[in-house]
Amino acid sequence: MTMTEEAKNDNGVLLEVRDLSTHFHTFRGVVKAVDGVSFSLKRGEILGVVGESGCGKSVTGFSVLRLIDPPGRIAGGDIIFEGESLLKKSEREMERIRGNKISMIFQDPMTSLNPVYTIKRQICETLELHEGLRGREAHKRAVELLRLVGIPSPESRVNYYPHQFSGGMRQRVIIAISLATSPSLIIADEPTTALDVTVQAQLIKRLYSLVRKNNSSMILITHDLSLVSGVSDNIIVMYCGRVIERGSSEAVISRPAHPYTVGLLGSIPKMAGEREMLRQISGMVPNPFDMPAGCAFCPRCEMAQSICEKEYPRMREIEEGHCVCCHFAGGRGL
Amino acid sequence: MDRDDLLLEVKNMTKKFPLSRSGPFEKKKYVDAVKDFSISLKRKEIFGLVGESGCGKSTAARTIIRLYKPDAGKIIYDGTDITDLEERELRPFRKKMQMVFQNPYSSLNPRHTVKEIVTQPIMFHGLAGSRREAEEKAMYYLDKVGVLSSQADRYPHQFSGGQRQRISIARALAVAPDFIIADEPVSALDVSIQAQILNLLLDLREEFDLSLMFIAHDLAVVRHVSDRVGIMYLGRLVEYGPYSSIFENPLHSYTKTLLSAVPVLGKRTIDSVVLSDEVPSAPSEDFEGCVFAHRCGGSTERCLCETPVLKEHDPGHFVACWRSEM
Repeated sequence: MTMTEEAKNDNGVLLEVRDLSTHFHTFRGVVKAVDGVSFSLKRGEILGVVGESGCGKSVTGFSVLRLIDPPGRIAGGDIIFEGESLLKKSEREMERIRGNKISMIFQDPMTSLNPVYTIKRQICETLELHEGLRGREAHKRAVELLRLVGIPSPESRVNYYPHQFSGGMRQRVIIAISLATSPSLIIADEPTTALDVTVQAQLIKRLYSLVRKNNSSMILITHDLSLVSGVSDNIIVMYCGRVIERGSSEAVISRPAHPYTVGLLGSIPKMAGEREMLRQISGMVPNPFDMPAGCAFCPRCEMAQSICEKEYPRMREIEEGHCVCCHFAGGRGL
Repeated sequence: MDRDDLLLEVKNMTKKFPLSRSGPFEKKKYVDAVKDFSISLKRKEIFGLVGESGCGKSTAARTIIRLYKPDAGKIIYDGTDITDLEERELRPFRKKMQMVFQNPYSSLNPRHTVKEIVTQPIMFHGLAGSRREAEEKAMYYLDKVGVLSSQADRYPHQFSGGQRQRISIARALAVAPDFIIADEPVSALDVSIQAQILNLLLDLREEFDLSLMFIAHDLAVVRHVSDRVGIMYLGRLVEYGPYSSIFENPLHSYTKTLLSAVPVLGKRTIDSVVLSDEVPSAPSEDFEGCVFAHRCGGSTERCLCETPVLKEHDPGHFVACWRSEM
């Protein structure tokens, strides 16, 4: 099957996550880290997943790769990748997908490289496993990959150990490894959070152009709404394990509908114009062991009514492609 | 500037750290973590100090409140030269200058209750006649930062990151300081909580007439709270001035690229101007020239051999760049 036929068969959808639930069973009870998340991703699309600590955005990313260890468990839903359910695959089959068709970039460039092996060995491991490249060929490709991600003098740097690189350079190496197999999907979990802004700008620019060039899709998981708004095509906003708003970047940023999204955008200090009092979201994220029965945002929401306490709102489309999970958002009652 | 208004004056402060020697007979080498750092701070002013990791902003702050001893320069606090004071002589100044640290998880003693944490500095500095009075004071400050009195007997681990940062702020306030250094106070927090803490700091400044030195790498946060802003690069203050002119009319090319790298809502991140290479390591002590020259788009012969000094370009807006004079 050629690429175009393939794309036609699935309407260009690369990944579809349906009603995914990932639960963690602890002594104190069950934490529903991801609770009924659905989204789909087209080929070549960049999707931003935003939310604050503990909202389930990383667990969603890990679930797609089935990297959930006990006490965590994917409790329900389905993940369809290139037309096949990833949840039905054996561990052996998953191993062939991870790092090959789907690769992941983690937040911490200090811990995601093995400190006792050279960079070359770590890149070649991926190349050997998935592409069958060995020896001189693998070496050549490793150097090429390092050059691609913008590491100066890659011929000598390829023999370095991770500690010989700065944080930004290490994250470049990780990007090189994740791109080694030209994956169709890259899951980047806070790829630049540990880095300075100038290095972040360099890296995001590089990652963006490489993803676009390969026509890969990317899920960019981050807490930084400003960053995501400038990179991704679509955005989903998560709160307490659920998607509360989704739409095109432009719609979500310029016409946010969920009170949580509105609050988040209001809490970001502006880089230009008059300085205004920051609009803060009062209170805190609820305790995961003691979630409100209705809308999870209800205790912090200024617009909450009695219905919000009792009933979890359904996802509604308020304009084309822009959905929100709130009883009142989008002209109804507001 | 009215001299009575001046709280702190730092003149040409330099702090060196020794580098590890490659052999036992090698000459000891030093790196200038902070070099020729001069600022002044007025009462009730918030001075924002920005720069990337390792640029020396925390070292500068710690040297100012004499957690480190400067190798050169002067630090004048409220009319007194504190540059060479001994630890014992510094004690009265310790209660005037407080610090709020970045990590709300490691900067609070896990074995003490919140009430004890805030009471301790009050007792230490003898600001209360009895323990009971000290505790009452502690409760007052906890209330000011928004920690409920019913939570005062809890331990730090029972609080979220934002709450813990409130407790750190209460501890700093407890000795009624004039000057607080807040070293990345919100960078470990989520954006909605960050807004709460920033609003709190601005309120407290008004209520307690505080001067603040606000250190952060997040430019938007610094712009939001600061009256004046200073930009550091490799241990040098390269530019400072009123927040509005720094953000609207940056003069140093490092400031310009730094500002352009900040992601802004709705702006295509990928259109930003990016610097080549990474931040080099801090130059050795005998370095001459502009530290940014190698990454600067328009550096001249002069930039490579002669160290630029801070010059006033617009009223109150200083920049250390040879090109800005042209």
